Amino acid sequence: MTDGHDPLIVAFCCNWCSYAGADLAGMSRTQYPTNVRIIRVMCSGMVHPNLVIDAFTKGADGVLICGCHPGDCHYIEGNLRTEKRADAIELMLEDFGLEPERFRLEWISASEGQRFAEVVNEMVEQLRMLGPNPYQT
Amino acid sequence: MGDASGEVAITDEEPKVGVYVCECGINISATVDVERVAELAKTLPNVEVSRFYKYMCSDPGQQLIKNDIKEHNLTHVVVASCSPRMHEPTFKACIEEAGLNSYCFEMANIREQCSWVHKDKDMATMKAYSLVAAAVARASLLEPLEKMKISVTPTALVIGAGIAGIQAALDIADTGYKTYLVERTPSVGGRMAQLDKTFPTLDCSACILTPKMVDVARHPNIELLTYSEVTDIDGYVGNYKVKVKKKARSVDETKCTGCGVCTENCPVLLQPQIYERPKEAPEVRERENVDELISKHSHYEAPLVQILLDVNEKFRYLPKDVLEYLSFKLDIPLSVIYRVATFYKSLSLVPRGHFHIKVCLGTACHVRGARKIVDAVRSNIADTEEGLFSLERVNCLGACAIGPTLVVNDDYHGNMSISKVGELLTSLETEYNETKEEVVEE
Ligand code: SF4
Ligand code: FES
Repeated sequence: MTDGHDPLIVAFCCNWCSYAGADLAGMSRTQYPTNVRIIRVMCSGMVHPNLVIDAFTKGADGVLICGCHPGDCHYIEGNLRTEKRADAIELMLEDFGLEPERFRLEWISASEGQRFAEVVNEMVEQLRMLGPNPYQT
Repeated sequence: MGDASGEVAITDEEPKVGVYVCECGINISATVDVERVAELAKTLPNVEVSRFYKYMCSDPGQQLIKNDIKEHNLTHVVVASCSPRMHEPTFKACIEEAGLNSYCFEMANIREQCSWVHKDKDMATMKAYSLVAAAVARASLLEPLEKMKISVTPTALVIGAGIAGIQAALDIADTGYKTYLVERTPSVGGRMAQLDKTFPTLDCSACILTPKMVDVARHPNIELLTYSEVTDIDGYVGNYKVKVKKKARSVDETKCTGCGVCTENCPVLLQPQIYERPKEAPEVRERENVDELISKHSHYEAPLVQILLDVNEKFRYLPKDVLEYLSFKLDIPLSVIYRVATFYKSLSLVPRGHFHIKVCLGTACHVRGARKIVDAVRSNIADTEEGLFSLERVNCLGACAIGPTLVVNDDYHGNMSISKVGELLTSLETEYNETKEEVVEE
């Protein structure tokens, strides 16, 4: 936040694991930068690629999808769908002229608050290097 | 769920949102300027009232919301406080008591996901504000939902009638539910019906299983579908539609008493021929050599094991045609030959490689990482020439002191590691290629 560009990350977190993981980061007072806005979804599998592209075209610098670890999805195979969608999203980003590094899919369980903070930290670093999203007006 | 008429209808009106920012003692207010957030929220579209309070979840806090709903005719409520995983149900109940639909509620998590994870007060405040703004935007779009009741079909389907399926079906049926038990094979019982004793008590397997098999067939709540397969599952929890294919049974089930007389008159004869001694001398590879092996041991009274060992050594396994030939020559039923052939570990019914590798998985080797050795061997031999290596896992080679142990043909190699496996196999492969070249040169 010192060097000009302060990236904005939209994080879709599934209600059952990753949102709880992010809560745990709070309960254990694990610090991470303020750049992330968490959106609670029932399952990572309901994050349609269009939502991700929307977020980018409306100016988000990075998008993060967090779901339960494979095998742990509350809806059995929602996160497997997410995994497939992530591939599609990466292809779409190329077409939009956006670096694939701006998008990230992570499995974060309810006990991995630390991991959530790590991921946000890494992403903020990464996005600082990439600079602002060209769609920002 | 309260009845719909008592609730405020909101569909045609502009939404009126109430925003409530919680201090949670100092849990939130230490890092987030709640007063400022509440103040800023007033400027957001659709926001009618915006307040902050020390403990939103307390009785006075909830009362504040209820009063505002009445006074300002609020249609939606946003509470910015702790995680919805903590107090969403509390506030939903609160607005419902005040006559709002409980789904017209949204929470902004400014404690677990803001005040507790950030230190910089300005930035945390701005983040809290943007979370509130997002919650307000979402809340304005929320429509009241009704909870419905959907009837369920109180019936269970159990797939597979092994001991587990049988017991499950019995348990469910005993609680009074109609249960369908589907089994692919013609009879229930599964693997357990093939066992003599069960581990670890060595109880008689049939004594446990057979009464349950009878119960399952006789239970008034169980419909048994043997020789049937599930072909399609559709629907959702409580209302599944399952297609079961009942294979042709060629008798009239309602008339059949299981007397078995039909088998005597059955025009189709399906006898497993392969287990008998062939009636004529079968075709066999290298007949002379096999004959020689047989005559070599003819002085024994029971030469079978010796002959099988020799055959195994010669061909590196027991080819089927040779076994049939032995059966004919020695006048021993093929089933007996198979019994012997499958009993001894040193005999193999599938071809073994030029180098047959046995990896010990006995307790001593196991604790020293024998599994990794197996994996290493497997990956090392994966793309070698077909027939060069084969891998077998054995339980104890009697060389525990030098474990993890592996044996190549008859040579023991102890204290194996992943890298040593790699070296060993490469040297064997080179050795083999060299001898092959020599042969070619000669
Ligand atoms: S509503 Fe949540 S944040 Fe507010 S006082 Fe209660 S527990 Fe704390
Ligand atoms: S419920 Fe967490 S990924 Fe599906």
